[in-house]
Amino acid sequence: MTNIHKLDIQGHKTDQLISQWIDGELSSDEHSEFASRLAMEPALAARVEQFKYTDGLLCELLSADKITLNPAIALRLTTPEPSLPKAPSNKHGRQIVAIAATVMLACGLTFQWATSNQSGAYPIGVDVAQALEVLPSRAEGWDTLADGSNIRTVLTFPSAQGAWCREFMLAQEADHWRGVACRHDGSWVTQVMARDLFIEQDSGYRQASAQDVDSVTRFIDQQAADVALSAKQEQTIIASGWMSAASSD
Amino acid sequence: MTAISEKQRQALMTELQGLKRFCVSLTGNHADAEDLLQLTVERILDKGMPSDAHVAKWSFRVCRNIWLDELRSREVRYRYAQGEIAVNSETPTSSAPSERMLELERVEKLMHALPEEQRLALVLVAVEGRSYAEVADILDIPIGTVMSRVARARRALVEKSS
Repeated sequence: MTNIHKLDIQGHKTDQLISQWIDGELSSDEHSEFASRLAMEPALAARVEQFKYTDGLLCELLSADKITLNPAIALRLTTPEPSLPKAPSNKHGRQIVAIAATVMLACGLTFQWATSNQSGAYPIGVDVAQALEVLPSRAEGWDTLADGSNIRTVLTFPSAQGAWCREFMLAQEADHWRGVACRHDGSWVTQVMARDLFIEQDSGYRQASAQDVDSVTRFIDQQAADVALSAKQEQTIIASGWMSAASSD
Repeated sequence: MTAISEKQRQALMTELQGLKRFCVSLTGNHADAEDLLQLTVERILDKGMPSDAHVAKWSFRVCRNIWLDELRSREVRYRYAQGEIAVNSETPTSSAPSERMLELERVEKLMHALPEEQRLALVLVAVEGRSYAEVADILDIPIGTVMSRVARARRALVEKSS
């Protein structure tokens, strides 16, 4: 073995050691030993700094930017395979971009939005579902979810299928939605979502204009078996954990 | 193997940021990385994965395979593009890039010049912060090999950039 080869092997072993040090892969004893060497060997310390500096450049180079998924793919990724009624059966029907919004907001991911409004039944994000489960309806004001988005539960009504349904508004930064979710087998399932537009004010959001919320209104008109619950009725049904049957009686 | 399980789906969402960076490290630019990420996620959703598959490992492999396919299909277009670049390079640039930008560009070039196995190990360890054991699991190689590849990659970057 030539001296150069020996030096190369030795150099590689040192570089491995440095890497292990940087990556926190040394045992406690090895760590202490290496720390002592660093204090006594300026060349070794300089090499460590070189490695770290390059790592820093790499991290900067590959620093995370926003994940932008095609909405249809994002929906598929963020939505469990539905085994629920009314789920669209064809592939195009799964491109329910608007409904994906709710799920994605709950995931804390940043996706690129499309602008269409769709309907169909899909499970809803956890935070939104929890909000629908416990929050009373209100005419103004917002509740903030864990992911920073704002929700307002608007009204509660029984559907013709005997389920409890709630209309709600959801806002996260520039993405504003209005939708209806119904409770099936203990889970809140989005029935319709539409883009809406609210203007942010010091006190929260106010609705600026109803852009594409006709589908929501239409859904409520077609599906509601009765008028919306009064505040007292709603309080009772929330307190019961939604156990009372939704009927128009 | 027609779908991914709920657990795998959740794991895949957790892996997205890392997968995106992996795409960037493979492709060398953000636009291609975006496309590669879409294709990877779509492929996984379409084809599914074995129920016992390691999601990160599977995802990275799918991603790499798609990119290799893409590179093959780009060969002709690449040659054409090279000609275009040669023509466009005659156009003078209006402003000089900063020293930091030059440094980043240099590291980027060096990183993409690394053997793929070294580059992937380095990105997973140094950028993703994964342990050697995790990387060994993801890349299906011994821990010692991870250690060696990471060290060789760092060495190459440092020595070639100085």
